[in-house]
Amino acid sequence: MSEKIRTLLFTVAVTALFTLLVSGINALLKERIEINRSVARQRVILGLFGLITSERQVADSEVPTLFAEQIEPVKFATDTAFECYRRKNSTEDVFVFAFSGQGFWDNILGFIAVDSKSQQIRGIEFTKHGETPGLGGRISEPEFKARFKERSFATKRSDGLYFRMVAEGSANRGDEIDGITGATGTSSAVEKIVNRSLAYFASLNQGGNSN
Amino acid sequence: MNNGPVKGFAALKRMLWEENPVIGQILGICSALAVTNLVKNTLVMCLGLIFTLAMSCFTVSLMRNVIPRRVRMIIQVLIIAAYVIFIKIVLDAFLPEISNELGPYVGLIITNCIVMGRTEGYAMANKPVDSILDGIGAGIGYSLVLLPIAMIREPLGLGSFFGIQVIPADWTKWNMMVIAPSGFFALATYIWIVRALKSGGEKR
Repeated sequence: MSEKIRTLLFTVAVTALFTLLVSGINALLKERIEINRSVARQRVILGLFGLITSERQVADSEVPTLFAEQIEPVKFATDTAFECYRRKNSTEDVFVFAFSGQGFWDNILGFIAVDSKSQQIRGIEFTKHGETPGLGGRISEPEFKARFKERSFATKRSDGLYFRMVAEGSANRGDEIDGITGATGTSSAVEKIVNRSLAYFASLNQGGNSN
Repeated sequence: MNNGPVKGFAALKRMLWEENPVIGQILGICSALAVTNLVKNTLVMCLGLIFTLAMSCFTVSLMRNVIPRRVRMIIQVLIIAAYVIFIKIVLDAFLPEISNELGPYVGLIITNCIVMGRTEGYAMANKPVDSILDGIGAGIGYSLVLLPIAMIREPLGLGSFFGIQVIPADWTKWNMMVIAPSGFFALATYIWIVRALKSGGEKR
């Protein structure tokens, strides 16, 4: 009997000790991890507004200041949880908003920049995805993201979409975008997510925003 | 497997070739398939595994005389998990970009059978210093298999090496090499070659 109690006590004690150690380290570094995450997000948003480029690099420590100076959130009355930003004191109607949806393996999250006056996509960034590295994972490569640039979403196609992802190298119309060979699942997931997000943003923006 | 205790650097050395955990014991296959399509991910995975192995083996060995036999496996998993979470937190805090790219791979070190194989098979019965050497040896042995496979899969599948394009763009990429099944083929071929070399050595 005492052997059983000793085993139990030992297990509880060791578990408590290691839990304590791990939570201690987590508590020590938590703030740093939070800052890293928020800097990474702000960096993506600033990049989509063209405020951080490969020629104009900004150090991690300056990202929050730049973000606070240049960017303000936009709130829509019909969906207050919708994450959307624009530049402060800008005459342009460029918005950056968050999107998410089911990818081939895991959820795909990211941001899209749109010009609501000319109805064009300014850029797209994927902040989180679990697609196969080298195949679907290519969505985060600059070359793939560039395929969305300057695309107009003023009118819908007859099938109700703004764009269709087609076989890589075969896109020859404004409403067709090259997909990724070997990643048909990812391509059609991205097609679905981007079309849905753009339609949703258009419907929100029509209702007017209340800052 | 262990005929009498192997001590000191002999414990490290045998893991590289004679008792290599992947080739000889067919352990750690799951991660060998998952991460070897990119050299960079493989390298971080290997370093993470070497650290986890060394620390887990050391800790288990220190506690080996007080761990009740009945719960020894649970305690080992607990110790391994604690070190892996430690690596994950440190990566998140200091190398957020690499941590983001590796995604779930770091957490998967917990499920790497080599770690538990070494803690249960060696550290539970040997002194701390020997156990560290045994753990590091097993980690390096694992790396010696994974890195060459990654060095073949990444160039053939993606035309790049360590993320840098090394093969001209008109090269037709072998998409097959990027997905997990090719990991099986590459690993099997590697084990076949090594086994042939080994048995050739024995005959002589």
